[in-house]
Amino acid sequence: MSVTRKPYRGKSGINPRTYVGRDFARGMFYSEMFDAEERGRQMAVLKMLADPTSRKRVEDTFGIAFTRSRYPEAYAKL
Amino acid sequence: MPSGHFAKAIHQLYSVRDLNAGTGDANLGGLIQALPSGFNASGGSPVRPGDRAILSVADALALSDTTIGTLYDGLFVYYLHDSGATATATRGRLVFHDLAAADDAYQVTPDEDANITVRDWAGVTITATVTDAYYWWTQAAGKVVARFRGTLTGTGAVGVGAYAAAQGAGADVGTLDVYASAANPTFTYALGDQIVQNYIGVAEATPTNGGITAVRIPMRLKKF
Repeated sequence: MSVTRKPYRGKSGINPRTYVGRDFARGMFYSEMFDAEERGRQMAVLKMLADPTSRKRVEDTFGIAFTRSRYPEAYAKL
Repeated sequence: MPSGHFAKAIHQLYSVRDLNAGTGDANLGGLIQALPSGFNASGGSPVRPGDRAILSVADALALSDTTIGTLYDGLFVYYLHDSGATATATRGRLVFHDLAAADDAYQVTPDEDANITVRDWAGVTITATVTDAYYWWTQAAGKVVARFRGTLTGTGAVGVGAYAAAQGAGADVGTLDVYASAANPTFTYALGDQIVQNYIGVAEATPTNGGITAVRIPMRLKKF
């Protein structure tokens, strides 16, 4: 059985400014949610910010270009 | 309290440490640092039992305590460890879904079950030790460093299948075994069933007696 979903047309009662996407039912903000792979990347970013030797280890193994492109937040000036 | 979400908010900074370091989280949400001894309060981490994270090779390297070992890519799951286990969850050993706990507790135990033995394995321990009743990440799929039993049944080689040794208890509890080049047993359906059920993955390095070497575990074997 196929299920047809109505596209969002702005009259659903959902405020677009607070629309929380697929996790609406759970009441969590979409911007706070990540899939499992992005979560793994974010864990690595936070580790690099907390421990510079961690970032250097990745740079030494995979190169600075790769590391900067995958973990741009790890190069933010805090 | 249990989660099981594939999507979830990330760790907070307090708990950012190498995934394979330490002995686990003493309490849910992590342990606040530098408080009076014995004061055990949550650090407020949003991580809950059943949470999963998928790490790339680079992510895993960034989160490795290389004095203990290097982590590789794969699926990691945050579990509560059984408080009354006989065996100890040490690096490379399998942990098993605890049948005595509710599913939503996401509780694992290093003890092999008396009835279904090793068939309900949940993952491989990545820290030196996880203390009983502590929470911590376990690797459930991908390239993982696993411990083999003291005396392999077959001959270890790159590419051979790795199976749960199913030794019940003792020094070989939670370890893996290889059967390649071993004497051929008489086939029975029960034996065939056991082989399929106990399959863990493919050896990426040569398994040795009592050694800890890399095994690639397929995602499809994860018993969510």
